[in-house]
Amino acid sequence: MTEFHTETTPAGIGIVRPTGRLNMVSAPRLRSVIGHLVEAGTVRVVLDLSETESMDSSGLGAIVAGLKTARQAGGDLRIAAAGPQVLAVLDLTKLTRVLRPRPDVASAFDSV
Amino acid sequence: MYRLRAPADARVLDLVHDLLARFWTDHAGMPLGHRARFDTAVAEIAANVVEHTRAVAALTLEIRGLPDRVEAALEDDGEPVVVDLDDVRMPPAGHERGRGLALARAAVDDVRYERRGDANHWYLALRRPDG
Repeated sequence: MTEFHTETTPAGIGIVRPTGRLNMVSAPRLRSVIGHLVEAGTVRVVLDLSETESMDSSGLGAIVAGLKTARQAGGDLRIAAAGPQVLAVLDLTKLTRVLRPRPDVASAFDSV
Repeated sequence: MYRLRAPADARVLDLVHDLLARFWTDHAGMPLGHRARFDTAVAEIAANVVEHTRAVAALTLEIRGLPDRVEAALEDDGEPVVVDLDDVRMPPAGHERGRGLALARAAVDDVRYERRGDANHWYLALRRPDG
């Protein structure tokens, strides 16, 4: 079962860290977690993928949804610390330029 | 033999990943990027069967390594799938759905679907870099 750890930094950036797989089982929960953060006013969100074992197209769809949700609220969603399989999925779906994966959480909102 | 047969519900997706991991443990030598692409394609087809194939009860997956390529064969007992793989396109960036088959096709060298008898058959292959 994929788990989602959520925290908010003193700078007001929400960090969501899924542990496990992002697939059709966990994708709805990822959408929900990001949606709740944004609704609560945390519109800048970093998805920390350091503990994400794999991601499929359902997981990717949830990230795209989260990106749209955050941007519609005036914020943004960044992804950080993705492993080789996730990076391969971004590349193959031509979403690397849209989601622009960052190497780590700390630098995810350094530059716009 | 790298084979599993299980009920075609979401729980089978973990079994698919477990089987792939076991396969790669015994088939070292494939670059990590190639493994990631093969794993991605196999998981996508399995998820596609679970999510979209009607009246499916069981899913079978077989993986094998050949000198020049790795192959996966998935079989299910669901209703026939209406799909033209040559017509599958990657959706635009803002779309949240519809990438599964396009991703599988982009990840490996060969994806085929065939209806034989009462079963759906999916075949995936990825050539080794030196194959």
